[in-house]
Amino acid sequence: MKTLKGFDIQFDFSGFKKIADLIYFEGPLLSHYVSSKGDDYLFYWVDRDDSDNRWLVLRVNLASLQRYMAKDLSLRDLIDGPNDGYLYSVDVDDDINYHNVKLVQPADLPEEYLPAIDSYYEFEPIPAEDAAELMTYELTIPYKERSRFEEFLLKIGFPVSSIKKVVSRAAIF
Amino acid sequence: METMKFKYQKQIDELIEQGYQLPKTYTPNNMSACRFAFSDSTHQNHIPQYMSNPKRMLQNVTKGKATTSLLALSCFTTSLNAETFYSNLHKAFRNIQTSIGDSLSEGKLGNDDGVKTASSNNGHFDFYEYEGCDLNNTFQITKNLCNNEDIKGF
Repeated sequence: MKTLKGFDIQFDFSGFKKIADLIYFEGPLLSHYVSSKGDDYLFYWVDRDDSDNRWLVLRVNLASLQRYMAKDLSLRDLIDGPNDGYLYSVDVDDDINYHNVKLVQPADLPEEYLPAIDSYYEFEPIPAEDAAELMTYELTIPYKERSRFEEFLLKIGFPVSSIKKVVSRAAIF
Repeated sequence: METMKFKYQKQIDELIEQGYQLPKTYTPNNMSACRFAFSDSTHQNHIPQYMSNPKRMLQNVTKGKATTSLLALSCFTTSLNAETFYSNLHKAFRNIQTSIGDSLSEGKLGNDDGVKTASSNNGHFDFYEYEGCDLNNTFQITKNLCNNEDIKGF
């Protein structure tokens, strides 16, 4: 795989929990996770070799994610502009060990790690089986955002019957 | 009537023992189908994910997140469906050919070859092969999906 320009760091991904696979073909390719702090992250597959798969991990906000799924932003827009100004690169082996974690700037990514300019969302999300429970207990959202949050949950494939429960428990005033 | 055995019956049985179920399936009736494939000879084509990476099945069982779908072959009902899906994937993942192949292969699925799941909106379905089925003998690569400028879209 490509050698990436960036800073070697330690980063603990163990507290991350999957909300949904946004793009899936014979395995996840783009997945939405929340951290133990409630931050939203995307895991974006970019490369593989005989032993590892390489993922880029970036913090995003729900509004941007919603705009991506509404085809208002492209995946390239999200990768070019992560919330933190940087993203993580991590190699994951067959035993699900995370290693070679680097802090990388979008401008330093090789061309083949960048989605096309017109990489708009054309897929069907697959919610994680335990996502409704996870979001009920671990997420909080501003009360004024609840309508948009409902729309977002609907968009990522949450069962309609669960959405009201998730939003009412997560909303804070 | 003789019951047909699946090509990966042992692995399917293992998942069923763990509480997983096969989806509802249908006979293919000699339908045309398409799959993504590798054009170079170093890759084996038409191998389900769990068979090319058995560790993945074990890990998914351990996590309680296994699926019989990964003991089946991903197919599309038409070349247009397959090419559209590949094009969208390739826009998002420029290295996708290293994972799922760089070419389109096409062939017919007979009732002696296996059974299929219902097709989704994008034309995708899973094909569960019967013992003795080998799509390497019947499917042929018809198009390189990465050299097509329309597909690249950059």
